[in-house]
Amino acid sequence: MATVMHVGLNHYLVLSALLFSIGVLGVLLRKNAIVILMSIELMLNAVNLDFVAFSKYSGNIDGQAMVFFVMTIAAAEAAVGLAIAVAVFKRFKEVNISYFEKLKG
Amino acid sequence: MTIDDILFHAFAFVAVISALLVIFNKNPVYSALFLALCMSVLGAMFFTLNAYFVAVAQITVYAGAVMVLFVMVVMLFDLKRESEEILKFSPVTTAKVLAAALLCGFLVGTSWLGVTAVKDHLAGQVAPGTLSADLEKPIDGKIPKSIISLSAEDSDESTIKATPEEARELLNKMGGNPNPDEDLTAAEDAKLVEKATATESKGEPIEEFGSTVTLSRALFSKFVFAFEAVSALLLVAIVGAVALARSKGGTHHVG
Amino acid sequence: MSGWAKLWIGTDMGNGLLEIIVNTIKIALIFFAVVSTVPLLVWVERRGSAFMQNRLGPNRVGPLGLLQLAADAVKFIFKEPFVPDAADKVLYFMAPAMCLLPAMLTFAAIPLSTPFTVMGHTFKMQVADINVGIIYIFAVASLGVYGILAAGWSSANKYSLLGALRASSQMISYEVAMGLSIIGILMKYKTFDLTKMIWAQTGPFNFIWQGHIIQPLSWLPNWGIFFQPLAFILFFTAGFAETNRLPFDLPEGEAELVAGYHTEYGGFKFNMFFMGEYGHMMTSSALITILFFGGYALPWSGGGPVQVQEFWMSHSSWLSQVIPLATGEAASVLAMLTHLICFSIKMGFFLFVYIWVRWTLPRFRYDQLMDLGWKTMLPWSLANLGATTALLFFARYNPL
Repeated sequence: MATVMHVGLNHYLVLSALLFSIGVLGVLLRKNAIVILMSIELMLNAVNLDFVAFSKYSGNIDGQAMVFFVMTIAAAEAAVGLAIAVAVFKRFKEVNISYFEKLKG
Repeated sequence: MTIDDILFHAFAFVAVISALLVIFNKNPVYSALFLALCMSVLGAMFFTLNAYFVAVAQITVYAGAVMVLFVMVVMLFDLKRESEEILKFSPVTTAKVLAAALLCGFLVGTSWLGVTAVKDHLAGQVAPGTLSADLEKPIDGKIPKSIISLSAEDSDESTIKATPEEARELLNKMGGNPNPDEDLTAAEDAKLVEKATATESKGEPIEEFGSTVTLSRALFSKFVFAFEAVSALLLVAIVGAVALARSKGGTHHVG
Repeated sequence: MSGWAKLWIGTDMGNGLLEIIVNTIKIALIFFAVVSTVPLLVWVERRGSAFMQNRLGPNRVGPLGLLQLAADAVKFIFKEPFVPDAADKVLYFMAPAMCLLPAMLTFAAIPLSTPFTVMGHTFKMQVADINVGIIYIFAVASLGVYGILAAGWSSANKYSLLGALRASSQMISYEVAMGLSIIGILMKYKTFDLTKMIWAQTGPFNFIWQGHIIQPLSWLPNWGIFFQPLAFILFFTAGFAETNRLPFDLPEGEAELVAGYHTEYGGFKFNMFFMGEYGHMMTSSALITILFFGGYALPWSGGGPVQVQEFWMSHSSWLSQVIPLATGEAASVLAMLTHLICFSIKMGFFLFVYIWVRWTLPRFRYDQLMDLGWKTMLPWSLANLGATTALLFFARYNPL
């Protein structure tokens, strides 16, 4: 119990692993394109937590610099992904991906 | 059983519950708001990990801008709740859940059990004192110079200004000069300059691990190319998003 | 350490029971202080606006109308809490809290006064002394958008939704200008910590140019506004836009949108929105005084807060005979009170300016508002940043 209660590196890694797999489950299970984008953001956040935990426990600041870049790229990707979703919604009035599974024609 | 442990477990609990509610909630607005909560809680957890600037960046960028974008898009779409069950019992859904559970088990097992292996590996390879050979104990305070310092003047001073006596003496000297028209002698000027530059240049902020100073030193020396490339990427993303989402004259102009 | 001492003091920062209890009390005190300053501000607004508009304000209830706010509070508490039928119940209830919470959280990082020592323990007059203080405040303030969006969307009302979208896009646009405008003054102070910023503004107006101290106009205090006047104007304007105050209060405009995103709210929920707005106003005023006007430090004190403490040290021996405190501790308490009064005066002045501007200027139209934020304030902030960087580079460039 003491090993569980006193927080070390592996606690943060387990939490990050849990969040990552919840994100994977979201991408697999959900049919709404926006919720899939949100699950991808969740996975990126889990990875950020991993980087920061390793950065602290090894004394190397490079992990936090990496988090800086991952955050920026995730923000850019979310913006462009949502712009695509908006364009798709305007054309088809649908964001359910099962509507787009079959190629037309 | 310190307050840090209690805080970690509380934050972890809230983060996992809100992440589960993101994917298992039928209303997309609630999903977006729960994801914002999860990101804020992760930002709070970065504070406990001594990553102060990254924590603030997480709350500003992720919880305060990206998720606001998501929430606004979902509200504008006026999406209805999903009509079908998310977890309906079918072979495909079972396979998906099993795959995710397998991945989860693998990652959690590696994280929980594998850290000792990494610790032993690292302990064997590096000399004690440079990296933390014991991964349970983080390095607080100063960073070992061997790792990141590319500039020679890592200062050890922790005050941002001179002590009050020095400041008062300095200012008395400035204001209390009996002959204001006469220039100060070269010795006095040199002393003032030394005092002034001592105040200004050696008065660096405390170089705590994870503070902005440390992170920016690494960002602007070691990662400067990536920094500039990411700026270009952001510009491209802005232009692309505006071009995609315009109602007239965009790339997906309807009609 | 004995077991009892270990529990009370703790092994590390934040572990001891004493510190947890003190911090909890501080959180509660600051919360109640903010909440109870709001009625005072509303009174000032109503009487002040009446004075400006050449009419009487509320003057029936209590002397000078001071009890009007108590009557209003009672009214708010006892009003029937109606909920629209088509409203999304969970978000409808959560939205006022989501508006109030960031306002309170940002006020936690503001240093109100110098630390004081009583019975050997030092207490900081600040709930959270974060070393990334100012960017923490900006981060938490940007979370206020969720309350507005939730309120507007959950009310099931077209006007509320329009008001919410306008308010949220306005807040996001002006956050950018607000953050960029103060980078110049942050470069001058070289810190994010608010307490250190106040210490950096002590003494007469001086700066270092290539190794020499230049002291023109030494009758001015060393405040940030004399170094960055353009940043002050930009930050002040962006503060109005962030708190949805006139001239940027189109989201709440009565003529256009009934009441914007809080149309469907009555009673205590409406009161919570107002507390959030006034709390934001208080944080903005406090930030302006700390960044540009020296915070809690007295204007020309050359040694900063230490000089004030020494002054009281030599004058407060009578106090230590009245209260059983050491002379140093009594001096620190008196210094704390002095600085608290100084800070309150400065912050109160800016709150009055907020109220003054509200009843003076007309409202911006929505497209004018967005144009101002993106096409005027953002380029000027960048120009300010560029000029400040160039000046600082040449100032520190020492040819010796």
